[in-house]
Amino acid sequence: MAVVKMNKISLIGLETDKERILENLMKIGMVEIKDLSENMSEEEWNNLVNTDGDNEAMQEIEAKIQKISTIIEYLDGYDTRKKGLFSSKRDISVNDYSLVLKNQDKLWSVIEEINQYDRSMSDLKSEKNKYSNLILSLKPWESLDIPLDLTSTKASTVLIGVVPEIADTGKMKQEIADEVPECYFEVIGEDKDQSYLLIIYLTSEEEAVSKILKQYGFSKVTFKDLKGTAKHNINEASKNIDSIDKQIEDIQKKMSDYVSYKDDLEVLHDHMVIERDRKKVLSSLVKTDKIFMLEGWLPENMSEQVKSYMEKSCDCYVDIIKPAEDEEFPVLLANREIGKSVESITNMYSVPNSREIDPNTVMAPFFILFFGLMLSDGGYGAILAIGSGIILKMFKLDEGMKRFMKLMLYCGISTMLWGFLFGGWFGIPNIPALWFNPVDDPELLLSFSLLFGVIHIFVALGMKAANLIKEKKYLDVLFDVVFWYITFIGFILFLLPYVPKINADEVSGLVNAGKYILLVGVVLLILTQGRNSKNIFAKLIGGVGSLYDLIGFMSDVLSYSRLLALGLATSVIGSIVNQMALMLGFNNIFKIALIIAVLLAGHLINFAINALGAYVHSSRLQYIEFFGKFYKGGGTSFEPFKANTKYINLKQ
Amino acid sequence: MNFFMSYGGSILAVLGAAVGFALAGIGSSKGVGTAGEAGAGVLTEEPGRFGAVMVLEALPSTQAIYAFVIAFLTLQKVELTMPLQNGLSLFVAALPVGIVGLISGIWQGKVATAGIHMVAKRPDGMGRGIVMALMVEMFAILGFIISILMLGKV
Repeated sequence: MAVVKMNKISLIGLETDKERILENLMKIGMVEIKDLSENMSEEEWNNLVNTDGDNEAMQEIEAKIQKISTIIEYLDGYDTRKKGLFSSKRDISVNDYSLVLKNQDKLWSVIEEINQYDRSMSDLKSEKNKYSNLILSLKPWESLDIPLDLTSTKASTVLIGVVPEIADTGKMKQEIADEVPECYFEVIGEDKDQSYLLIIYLTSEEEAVSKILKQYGFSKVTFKDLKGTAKHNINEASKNIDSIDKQIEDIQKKMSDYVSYKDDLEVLHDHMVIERDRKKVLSSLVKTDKIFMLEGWLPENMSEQVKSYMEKSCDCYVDIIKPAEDEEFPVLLANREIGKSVESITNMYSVPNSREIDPNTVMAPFFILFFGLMLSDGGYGAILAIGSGIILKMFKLDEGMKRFMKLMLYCGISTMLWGFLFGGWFGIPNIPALWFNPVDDPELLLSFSLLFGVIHIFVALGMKAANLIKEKKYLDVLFDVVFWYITFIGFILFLLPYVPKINADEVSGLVNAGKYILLVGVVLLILTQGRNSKNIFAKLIGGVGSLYDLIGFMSDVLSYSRLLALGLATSVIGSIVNQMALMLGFNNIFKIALIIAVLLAGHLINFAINALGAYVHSSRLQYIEFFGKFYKGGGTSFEPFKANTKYINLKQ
Repeated sequence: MNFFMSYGGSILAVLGAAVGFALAGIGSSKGVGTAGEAGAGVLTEEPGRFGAVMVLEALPSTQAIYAFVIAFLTLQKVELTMPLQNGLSLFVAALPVGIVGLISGIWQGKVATAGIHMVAKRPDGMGRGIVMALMVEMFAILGFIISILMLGKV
């Protein structure tokens, strides 16, 4: 349980040897390289050295990486191989790796080909779209056997067009027949928006016809560039679509052939990423004509190893020193199993800074116990534990996922423990409880929830003391921790009669004692809490003001009542689900199937909502009530210079 | 009057369950609704943030869950001819979880919405967004506990 101590490493090497030195550093993967270019503002540095870095080359590689990853994503769509629920990196031997890189040119041409196919694919698709739109617009005219390009004969005009659905075509036909007898009028088709009309009239009668047409909201339809009947055009278009479909299919077939290159492309992608990172790190170095220099951090216990390895393998000078007393260094955490599993929760709040105690190991048991208490149903806990256990066993997970699953395993076990204590298993009634059933006696659990809170907060104060001792501020331990302990204990004893389930008469002695302890504590606090202020009045005001923290303490403790609330919600809703299911009755097979469905769905939802609730509320109790007391955070994570691959793991 | 004296207790109790749940249910619906709208907007731009957005959107649903539990526990205590004062007590007991749930649900939804916007800009903002939304949740929890304690006295 600790923040790993770091040493500062400085390395000076020959410019000609730079590539190899960086490669070796990357292979070790234990050194974080510090940006030296910020020193360049100092004249002393500026006179001696120049900044390194090759932005252009980096951007070039970046563009290539972009290109490869689009292609990989594209091929993903054609990849029919089964993918695991949890993706993990593929192991690959150095031999295979260099073989792939040897055939790079082939891969680049593959990429070009795929791009080409992709372009023609989208061309084909848009063409297909065009044809299907054409068919759609011609469909209503299918039964029209006059060629579409025929709009007039010597003496007559052929007109096609539409009127809105509300227009009465029967009446329209009648009207035209009355006014202009030498006219042919036919309704070709109708749909829910429009009626499709064919009208042939003597060109000399145009004025009369168009007057009537106007009244009915007629609009003319023309098909530019189309010859022959609508039916003929439709047939042509669908023939074209068929051939396009075939071409698309061909391309798709070719694409699925290209899928065999995907693995190699992934290797290439990661190779380029490594290349880019090596170029990127250059901008953190400084150089002269002949030599370059880098500075960085590495774990103390690795120092000697790295130094001897680097000096043996390359021509360079390595110097390793301890950081100055007040110098911040990047933070690497070293925790055992349980502590490690909650690191991500702590990091979500803040990474510990390099000078304080890593809180993970102390925080983990509280997180896990509180989670269990809030989920509180042993059955759900068993599912959680078994589920995460199976995932841990069956799948190859990346580090973060593995830790999360471990945490879920511990949380599931803790939930089962509370299930035994409370007799809560899938909301089934009358299972004997080892301790008591909170649904029957919520007040008792409320008291205990508050007690757990007091313990949690006292441990937090203890952590504060430990941090102060680490900083060798022994007096502050007395003033800021011990005095508060005294005051809080007095305060709690004083308030005991108001806690549910406590008999006021029985504790009257404690209350009396509490009164005095509280008084002593308050006096001590008033005398000491304002000690940093200048004059006596400010000191006293500061001391009195600090008493406001008593209110804060009380609200912190009350905040733990959520342990009861969430635990109770799970068990009550679980039993409601059971009751609703059983209300259906067992008369026939369908009802039994329905009962099973209701039970499954109900418990699944209850489990999901309450597991989420338990997780976020347990986190909150750590963040606000626990960390708030002592934790500073604000560190930066240790990010060593190493191969940050996405798809592959290089096996040496 | 006679009718009220003999059945008023059970009517009041059932009314309490109804009012309590309805109020908190409205609060949760409104809260989850506003957060969901914002979430959908964010997801069009950043589909990868679904997990974080979903968690934040789900937070204001707890008010309805608490009221649901209270309504259920209330209904278990209802008997057809229960004394008027017991019915009235049950009615009152459902009020804290209902009224506080209404307000806190709406406001938690607003905080969750802000959290969702934060997640849109900074993927690492999820933890902070959740903690801020849980600050509002505290009052719903207190309302729930008070309602539970009141139910225990009837």
